[in-house]
Amino acid sequence: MITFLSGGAGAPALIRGVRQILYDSEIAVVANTAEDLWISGGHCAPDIDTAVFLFAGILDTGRWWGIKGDTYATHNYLPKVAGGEPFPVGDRARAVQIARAALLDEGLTLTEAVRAQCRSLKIGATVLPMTDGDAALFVDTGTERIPLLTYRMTADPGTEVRELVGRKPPAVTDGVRAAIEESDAVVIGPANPAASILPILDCAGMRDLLRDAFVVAVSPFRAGVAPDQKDAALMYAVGEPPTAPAVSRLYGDIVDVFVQDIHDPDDVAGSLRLETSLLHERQAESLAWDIMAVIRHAVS
Amino acid sequence: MITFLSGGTGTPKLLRGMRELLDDRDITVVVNTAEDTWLSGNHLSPDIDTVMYLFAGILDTNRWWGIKSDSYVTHDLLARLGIDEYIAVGDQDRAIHVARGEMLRNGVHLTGATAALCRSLGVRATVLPMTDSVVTTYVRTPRGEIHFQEYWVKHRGEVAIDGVIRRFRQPPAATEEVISAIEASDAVVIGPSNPVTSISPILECAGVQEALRRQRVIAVSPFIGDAPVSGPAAALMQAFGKEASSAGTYELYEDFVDIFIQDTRDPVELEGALRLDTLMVNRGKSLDLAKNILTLIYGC
Repeated sequence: MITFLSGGAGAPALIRGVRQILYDSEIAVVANTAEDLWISGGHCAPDIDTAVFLFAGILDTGRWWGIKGDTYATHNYLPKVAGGEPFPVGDRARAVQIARAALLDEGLTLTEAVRAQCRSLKIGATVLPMTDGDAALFVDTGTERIPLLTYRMTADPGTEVRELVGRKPPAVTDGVRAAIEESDAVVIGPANPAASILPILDCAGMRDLLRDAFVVAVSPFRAGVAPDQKDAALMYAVGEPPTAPAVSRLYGDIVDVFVQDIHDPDDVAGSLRLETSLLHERQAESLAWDIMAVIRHAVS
Repeated sequence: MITFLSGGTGTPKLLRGMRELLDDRDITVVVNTAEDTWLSGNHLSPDIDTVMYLFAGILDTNRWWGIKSDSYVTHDLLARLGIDEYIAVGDQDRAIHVARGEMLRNGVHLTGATAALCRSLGVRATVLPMTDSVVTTYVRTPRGEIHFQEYWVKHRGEVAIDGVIRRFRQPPAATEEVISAIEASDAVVIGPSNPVTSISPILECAGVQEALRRQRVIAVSPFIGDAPVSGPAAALMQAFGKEASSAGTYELYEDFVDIFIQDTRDPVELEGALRLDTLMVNRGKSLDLAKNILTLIYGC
């Protein structure tokens, strides 16, 4: 089994490629929950849902969030009736959020709720929230604190990001621990470290687990390709520029093989150079083959 | 101005006729809220919604609840995810629940939330919840007490009941808006709604009966013989300790009612009752009954 640390759009894009090579039952995904929030009475967990929807075959892979072909009847009607949501919630996605909220209200942990939803949607892969605790991050813009997801979805790209603020990072779950211990390797997908990966690594116990595992990390950044303005702002908020060497520094000693793009002029000593752009499915499959080859070589 | 006491069926049909004769601005409706409930994270107020949708021109008048030509995307997927919403909530209907739920969560009173929703929907009549405190009708069954909506919508009234209970933390009191509306009206009309679950909760709000005693009150019986024109009135009347008939209804209203209207076909003889055709099977019948009642009030 291979465990992926996932968030944002890049890591799920890589997982889509991996699905061409591995059975879903051989894939575990540890999803970031720093962007989770309650909206309109439902529990929104974008990185969990993206993974779940991907394995259910219903992910909108144009945007890498939401359900393809979803409708927006409730969301579109809200502004007409004295309400409004900060970002679009599809009618089907809302059902998933409401169902999860109902399970959490019954006293299930997030891990248990997600497991139940995976069963309902007949998913073969294992999708695990990084923690069952409150890991929500907020963007301090200097004037206010907005939830990380709201910042990503709706803030003006020029919005200042002074700091990412959260509570004390909660602990990884037993489910995450077991998945990593059973895995041949852990792959940190090409997601924004500040928003998607560091929240996972910061969970109490996570780095110790990864030190004992074979870890491959893929940089989401390469010099010469301008990163999304918000991705850059989030990186600067954790004190680093949006570059591969910075990503390598942030991950530190847990990584065994650091993958950076073959065209990246910035060099990380000892890195493996691969074609990392994931613009279409074939590229994702190709990168997945390369990473699997590295893992097979290392663990055999 | 005329004030109506209304539930979710019966009285709205009378209001449909009244709207053709009166300006909406001359209509105030005091609505039962004892069937309100939080559902899927949001606030369902079935009787308020029916009345509000009627005046907004969006009511599904085949069923007399919900928004016409609404879709059910979220509701249908919820069922697949194992969440059984016992009432079919449409996607636009859900937007109303979401908007109201958010307002209530933010500390707005139900009266204010209803006014805001009415403004957005272009409702010119005044729709007033009977109270801003929480009171809920439960029925006692051999297997325990269940929410009235669950009894009526989920079990379709096919469970034996032997009692009707109102649950509240503090005894409900009518809002100032309700009392002033009753006082400022030319007359109060109690529509042919369920006496136990729709009208009695309003009458039980502190201040309502005193205000009605000082006002001219016309009430329409919902019974023809022992059969209610619509809704689950018969079993509920018995569980409430009243005969399921116009006579039982009159007993509930006799303290303050000035004119009691029963159907021309009703075999129950009540001295002094006025006989009219109360079976509002179509728009024309609603209009006829409305005309007759307005003649009683304004004498022309």
